[in-house]
Amino acid sequence: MSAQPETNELRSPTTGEPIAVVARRNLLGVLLLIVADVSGTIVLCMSYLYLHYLNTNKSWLPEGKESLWNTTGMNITWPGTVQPAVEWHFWAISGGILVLMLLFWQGVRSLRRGSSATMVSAALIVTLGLIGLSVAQYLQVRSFPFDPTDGGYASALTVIGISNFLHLLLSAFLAAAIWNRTRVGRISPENPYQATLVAVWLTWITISSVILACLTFFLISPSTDPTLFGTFGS
Amino acid sequence: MSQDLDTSPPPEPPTNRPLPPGDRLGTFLARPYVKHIAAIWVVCTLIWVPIAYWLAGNMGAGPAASKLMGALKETVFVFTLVSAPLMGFVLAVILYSWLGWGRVSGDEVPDLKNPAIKGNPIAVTIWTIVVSFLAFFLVTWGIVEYTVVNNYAAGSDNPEKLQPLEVHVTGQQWLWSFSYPEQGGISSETLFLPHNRPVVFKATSKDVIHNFWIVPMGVKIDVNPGAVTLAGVTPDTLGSFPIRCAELCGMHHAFMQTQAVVLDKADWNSWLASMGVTS
Amino acid sequence: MTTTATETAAMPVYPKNFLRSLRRQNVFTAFAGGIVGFLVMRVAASLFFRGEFWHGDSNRIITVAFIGWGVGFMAGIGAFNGVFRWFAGKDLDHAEAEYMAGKDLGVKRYFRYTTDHKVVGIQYLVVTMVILAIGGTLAMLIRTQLGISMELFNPNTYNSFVGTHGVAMVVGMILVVTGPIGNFIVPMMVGARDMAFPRLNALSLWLVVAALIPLVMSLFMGGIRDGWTVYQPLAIQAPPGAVGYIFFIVIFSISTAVSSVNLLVTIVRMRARGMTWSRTPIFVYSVAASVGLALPFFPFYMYSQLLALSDRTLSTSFFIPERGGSVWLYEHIFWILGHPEVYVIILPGIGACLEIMVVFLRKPLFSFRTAVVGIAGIVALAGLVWAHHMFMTGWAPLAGYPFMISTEMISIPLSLIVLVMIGTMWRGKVWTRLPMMIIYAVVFNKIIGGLTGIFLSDVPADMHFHGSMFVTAHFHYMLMGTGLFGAMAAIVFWFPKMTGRMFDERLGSIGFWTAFVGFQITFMAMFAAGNLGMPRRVFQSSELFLLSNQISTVGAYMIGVGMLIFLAALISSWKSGVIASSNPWGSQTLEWQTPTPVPLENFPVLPVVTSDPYQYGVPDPYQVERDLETQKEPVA
Repeated sequence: MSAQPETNELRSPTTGEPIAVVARRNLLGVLLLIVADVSGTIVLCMSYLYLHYLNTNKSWLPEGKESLWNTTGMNITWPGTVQPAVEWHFWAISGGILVLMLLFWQGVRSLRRGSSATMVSAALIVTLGLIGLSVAQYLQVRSFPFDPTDGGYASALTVIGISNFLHLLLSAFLAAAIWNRTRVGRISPENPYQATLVAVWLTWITISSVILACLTFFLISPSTDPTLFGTFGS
Repeated sequence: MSQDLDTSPPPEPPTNRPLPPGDRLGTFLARPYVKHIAAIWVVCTLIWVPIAYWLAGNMGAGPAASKLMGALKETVFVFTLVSAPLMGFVLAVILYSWLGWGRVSGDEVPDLKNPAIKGNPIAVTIWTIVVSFLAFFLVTWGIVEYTVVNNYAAGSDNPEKLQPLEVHVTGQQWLWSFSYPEQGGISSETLFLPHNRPVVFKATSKDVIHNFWIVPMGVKIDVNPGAVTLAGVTPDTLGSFPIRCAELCGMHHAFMQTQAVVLDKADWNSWLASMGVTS
Repeated sequence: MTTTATETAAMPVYPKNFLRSLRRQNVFTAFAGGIVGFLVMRVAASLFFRGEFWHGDSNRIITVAFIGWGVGFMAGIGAFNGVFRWFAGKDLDHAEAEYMAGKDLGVKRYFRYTTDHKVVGIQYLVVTMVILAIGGTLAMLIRTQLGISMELFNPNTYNSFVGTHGVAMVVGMILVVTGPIGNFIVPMMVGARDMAFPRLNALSLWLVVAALIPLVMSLFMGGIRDGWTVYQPLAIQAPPGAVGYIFFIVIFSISTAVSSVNLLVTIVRMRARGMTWSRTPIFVYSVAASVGLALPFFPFYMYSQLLALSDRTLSTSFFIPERGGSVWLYEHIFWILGHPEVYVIILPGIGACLEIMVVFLRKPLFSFRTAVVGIAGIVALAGLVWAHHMFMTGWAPLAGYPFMISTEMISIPLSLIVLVMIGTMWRGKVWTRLPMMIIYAVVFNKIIGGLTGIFLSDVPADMHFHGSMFVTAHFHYMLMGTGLFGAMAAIVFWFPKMTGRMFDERLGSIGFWTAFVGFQITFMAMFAAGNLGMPRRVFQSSELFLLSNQISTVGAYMIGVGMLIFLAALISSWKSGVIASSNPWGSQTLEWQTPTPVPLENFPVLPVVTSDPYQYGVPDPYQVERDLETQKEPVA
């Protein structure tokens, strides 16, 4: 916090502390925020798998139902047989994020080696890619062969899709910010830590997306004789 | 701290040989505050005895209506007594600290010359062992008693090894209904049960979560929509017992109550006959 | 504790180029922005969901309108300015940062997006008092209804009082130590100039304020009729007021995550030079443990409510069994937070008690290491016990065994902390000031809460007590008797540093002891009612429980009167108390070593720590005696 830094070590303009100190602090902060987000992913997996294994009222992937008494008071028409979602869509989106994440890390690496130009173009491509992926994610949710109302499977997949979509939008904003900040020189080979933080975040987004895509391995509920609502038999 | 020893004079002339452990315990016990705390400790422990009797005696506002409830009462009684010494000890120390070791008031920061006790491995070890032993006892008791209770619920405590009676419990806002599938599916809004025959309850809900609680029998199970839950008991007392809903279920949750009526063999058969069941 | 000059505090002079927009932004523009956002989104949603302006799917409309409120409010207070400036690459310079921290702004800084941790601490104190006042008022109404045998409120109104009381108190209790004391004191206690992320600090505070309004609004839109646990599918029957609850919890969870990260990073990375982990005050440990639990577990709460919101607005069926949902799924997600949250609440209170009692006993902590082990043990076990709330749900009867074991194991670390407390009291003369007196009350309540907790952790005993008033009384002993009373001790203790004035202990004592006696009457009678078999959350109960309920109600009024007296003492001391010196208690922790009122960056000179802050007392005469014996005796 001294007025005149003794060395020409780069200092934060806001607090006057060495950049390395600020970087360590921020890295811990981002890692802890990721811890909180991990819990969110755990809940999504948990709700998918829980409903999958219970298959309450034979409504995981319902095979046609008559009209139902409905607690929400909303006008819901129960479908016939529900078709599962197309699997490769999930993997395509996860794969896309993976590629973008690697590209971003490449940019960070070259930034650390001293070249801002690669980082600028990598961040720009990643931003556009992430926006494209969020559009793809939106289209995927809209193209599901079922509505959110169609049982446990439909519910879980819809919310997973929305969660992915919001994650992608946030990541696109972060990548765009890195692009702009590198462009105006705020992020430079001497001060690359914010790009690293976003790369760490993208890594987690990739992992989360792959974990959620793995849920598609669990499709047909093992519970073939589940409890039927309002009855004592099954 | 031992470096400062040369400057601070010992309170009493030291003897030339260390006391054997027994004597060290003896000198510890001879300190006045130890005696006082021990006396308060005994009193604070004994306080819990009437409390234990009151707690166990008034569980469910009356005597147990099944062996299962008896086991629950026993558990509460034993747990209270077993934890009493530890609770009493903590209570004794805070009382003595409050009143016994001396006090200073005033606005100025006082120089209390309190002993700088930093850690005492013996105390920590003894405390940890005692508490762990207590926890171990509670866990063991809980495991054994839970198994006993489960066996009671499965009907192990009926003297004549009768086949359990199946009763279907349906909860809906804000009503209980009971049906008897083996008796031709007759149904009632008051629960009638035969004396000394095991009963198995299958419970489900038509709307939200309720909780089926026959208070003096110790039967308690959530009644969930979309799931069937099981409970059981062998009623061994004739009479009428309250059934309450113990899970918030909306506007009239408080009034979702009915009675469980335990009938002897003759009354049970005549009730069945009045419901049109011929046996 | 020694401080030496290591670095000078002189700052480079920057040209005055303040954030233009921030200058005009304060709590009034925030409310204006919130209201505008609410109305705009309300109208837009009505147009979008065509024909549904007055009728139809009000859940969706209310949800969108609340989002409008939140975004408008945060934009109005200026929370997004920093984000856009960061995006644009215009980082704050030092003068701007000081302006944001409220330099030379006087009283105005308390009404703005101010980053100084001391301002945020005071703001948290006021916000928490408001939340607790809401909860307390509702408690009085609840007790009034239960104490008489006639119908005072509509049952639905009563139920929404119960739910709102619950959630307001839970949130108020989470905030009451970590918010004011954690933000104001912890950075100073570890010897830092501010929190690690000052702007996130302001963000966490204003998110709580933004979230509070929908909670209050929900009372007028049908209320939270389902208890603070809002079990599904009961909650989905409730009118759109329940969206207010969901919104409140989601925003509050975000605020908690942000503030947890901030406190953890401050504690881990910003401790003063020389403050090793063994020299870090125990209160800092307890706050770190508390936020360390809140960080991974609060998202469970948030997602439980997001899934419920999805059931409401998108007609998914996570918790609707007719269409494949499961009520147990909700209970699991909820209680995975729900139990660690108890430790989130009580750990800072207990840590504050340990920190305070040392000062009034003028003795070192009996065993620092044991206390740390106790706290760590609680943290380690906290995530493994949630299903004891579900013993009676029929979810998996055999799971009763492991969860019974893990729950009873947690009594071991908790008892280690009690050992440190009574060990610190052992053989000590006591300086009888109000905070120390409160600690005796806290330990007493902890004994009662601990004993009754043993019953509830045991499946067979829980078969009687689950869902009864006994449970209600038990957790009030833990949360109010331990948590809130501990927080009162902490507030009285740190009051001189936070406000610059001494707390009026005479009036405060009258208030506290009135509340304490009322507390015992209320909840002892409630134990009795629960033991007799009175279920929780009932609107009226049978004649059998009337007497104990009447006693409870009388006690509750005593608590109310006592708390009002305490509040009066707090307000009058804040306005016109005796001016406090910088270290009125003679404490050794760092926050007392700075001047009062605390300067903007806390320390004129950053401190260097050379020992732990518990160097009190004289050598123990008995120990001296024993050491001499062993020294003089040749080894046989």
